[in-house]
Amino acid sequence: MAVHSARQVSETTVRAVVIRAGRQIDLGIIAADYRNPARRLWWRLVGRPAASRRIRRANRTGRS
Amino acid sequence: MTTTTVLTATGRAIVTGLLRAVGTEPKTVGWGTNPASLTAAATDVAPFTEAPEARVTGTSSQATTTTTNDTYQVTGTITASSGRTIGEVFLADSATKPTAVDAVQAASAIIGSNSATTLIVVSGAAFSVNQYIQIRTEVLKITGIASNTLTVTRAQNGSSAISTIALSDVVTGGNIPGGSAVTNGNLALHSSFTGLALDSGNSIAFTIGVVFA
Repeated sequence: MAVHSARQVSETTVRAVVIRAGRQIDLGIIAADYRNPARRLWWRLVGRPAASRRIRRANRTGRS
Repeated sequence: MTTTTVLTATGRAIVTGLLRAVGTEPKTVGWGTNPASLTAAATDVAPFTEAPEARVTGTSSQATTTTTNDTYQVTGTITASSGRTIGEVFLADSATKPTAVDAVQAASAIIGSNSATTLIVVSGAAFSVNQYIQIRTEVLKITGIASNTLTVTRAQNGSSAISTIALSDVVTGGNIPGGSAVTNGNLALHSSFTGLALDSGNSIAFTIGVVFA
């Protein structure tokens, strides 16, 4: 018999596009929370560090 | 600071209310500076440090992640009125900011303490007894007001008492699930991330998604 979790929210994500002087910098997902253990581990080890790197790169790009 | 996005406990209450056709859709987008790089939590009732820019009414829609229309999505763009670094974004059910906002003043006993119960603000008149407030990651309940001195109960709404409250920390009113003591004080979703540095006139277009599965 399958046991079903009562967790209704499986993931929440925030995507961001920074707009500077008409130029758009797509940062993709910058923050997230995942219920799935594999996705959660991926976000912690890969997704989140990559998001932070994209943000830091964007902070250096095209600023007056 | 952990980069994360959470549907708050108040947000869950908003969702169940809307299933009963009660309440307001939380599609207002706001942002903040999060200068202490704090981590958003489901226990939050207010943003850490809301920025001066006005909240924007977002555009909501249903999207598909796994099954059809399993995702609630809100998009909204905010433009910086001056240079600042943005480290948090949130969804609320009001485009108007709460007025119950102040800052920790000198001689507040809670500065550096995880057990003291008095807090001095600039104007106690902005608050009411039985309101909830958030300072950094802790939610507190106001149990008494004497001029500008608030008496509080610590660690409310599942939050933990912290010993890092500092002078000038922002004090923001917010509602726990089912509460309404703070006008315009419903925080439905809260996200914290690495700070995005903006110049005046720069914008961020946010797309916020909540997947129900």
